[in-house]
Amino acid sequence: MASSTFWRRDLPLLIIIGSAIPTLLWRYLNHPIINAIFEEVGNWSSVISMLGWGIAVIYLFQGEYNNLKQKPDDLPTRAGFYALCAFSALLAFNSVTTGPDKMYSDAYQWWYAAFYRSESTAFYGLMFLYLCSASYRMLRARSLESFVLMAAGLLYIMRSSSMFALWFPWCVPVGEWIMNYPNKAATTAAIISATFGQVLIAVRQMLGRERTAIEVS
Amino acid sequence: MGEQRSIWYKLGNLDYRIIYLLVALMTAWPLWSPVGTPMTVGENVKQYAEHIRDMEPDTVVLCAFAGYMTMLPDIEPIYLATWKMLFEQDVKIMVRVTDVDGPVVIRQEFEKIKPEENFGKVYGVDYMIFPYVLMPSATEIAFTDNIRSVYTTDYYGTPLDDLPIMEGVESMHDVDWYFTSGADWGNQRYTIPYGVKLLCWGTGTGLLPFVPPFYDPVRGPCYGYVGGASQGGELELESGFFGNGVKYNDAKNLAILGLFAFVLVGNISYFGDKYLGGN
Repeated sequence: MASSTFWRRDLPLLIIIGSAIPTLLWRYLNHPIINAIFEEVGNWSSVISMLGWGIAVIYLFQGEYNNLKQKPDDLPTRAGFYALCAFSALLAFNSVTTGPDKMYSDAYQWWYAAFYRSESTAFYGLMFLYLCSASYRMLRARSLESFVLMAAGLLYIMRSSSMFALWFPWCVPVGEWIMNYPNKAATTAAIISATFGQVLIAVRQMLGRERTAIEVS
Repeated sequence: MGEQRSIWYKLGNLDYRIIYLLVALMTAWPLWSPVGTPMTVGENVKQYAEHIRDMEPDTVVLCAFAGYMTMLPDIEPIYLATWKMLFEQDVKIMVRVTDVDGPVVIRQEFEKIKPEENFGKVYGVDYMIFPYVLMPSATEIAFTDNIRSVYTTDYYGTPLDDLPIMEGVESMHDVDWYFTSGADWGNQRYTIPYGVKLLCWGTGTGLLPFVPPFYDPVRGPCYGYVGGASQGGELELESGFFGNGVKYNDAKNLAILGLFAFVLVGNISYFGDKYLGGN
């Protein structure tokens, strides 16, 4: 139990403190040891991030496999899992076998354009459909606050559209005012609050009080 | 069975598939057949273009290229127009790829621009591209302090010290302008420590709501910004380098018109149901 606590809590805490303090000191002090530790931390942070991506891929397959085990007779679930495995295997095979200039081979480019690019942009484009549907249902003047929200949003949308800007020139200065005064004030306040929060979270992590940063359950 | 719903209620609860179909038609139609909706250039876009035009020779420009395939149609007009404007100037351009899609997309982008053919530029002398490196905060801090602590070669595997453009460029102290989609982060990591000036480019939803606190065309840190395909079209109009932005601007205008109509119908149905529908 004690060794489990060491690996799950104490060691991550030591790593966080060991990385955080030189990073903080580097900002204020110029010392060879601090500079060397800071540079090494910088190099390793990229490696650790890539490792995180790799672990995320493993979790993806693990999650889909668990889903399949829970619903073994569900056709969409089975089809989805096997399609994921098939596409992944095909991409891995393709990347290994297409030669030195792998990413720019015709085969890879075809996969990229025909599947990935089309699916990605379509997925992003669908968001606007949901936005319109949500606007239709939610942007209604049910109260003073919702009316103000609706009016401010629509005025800025009008300013963003060059067609409205030409037909209703007044919407440009009004939209700019909304963006540069109320929005600017609120966004600045939010950034300041978030920054204070970040400092607080960082201190809590170094003191070992931020459980999400040091334990994975 | 069930109470009789008023016409106002039905108007306010249309099947969402009708809305999707109308939006899809209004957005797709100008892509097939450009409508030619009128365009005006916003002040922020004019400032963005003006600061590029005013760049002096040998100015060092670092561009953070976020070529997410998902959002590429929204930002591609901005990227292409910006690079063409930069290539018109006698500046040194360094491109940093910041996402996983970037390595493929950047190559496609520069194949469209053709800097050597169209602008007489030479890779390694007038412009260069850094390879993709996943860059969390600590790594980016290391990069800004010493470029070679993170990158040792360029996108094509050439050592940085073999590129004439990298001579004398060691850190962000040697960079004059930074093109970024994050004004907050750019201000923290580039402007405050190193005095680098910012010009912001990005998607409409990811950039436009968050840039204003940092935007000041005279004092900075952000001297100009362009967000989304429609402002990309405005930039194309301002710069004279026309592309898909103008076509996307048509689609956006019609889509916004549709959005207005839906909100209007929704509110009419709400008040009609509330005051006239007997509910």
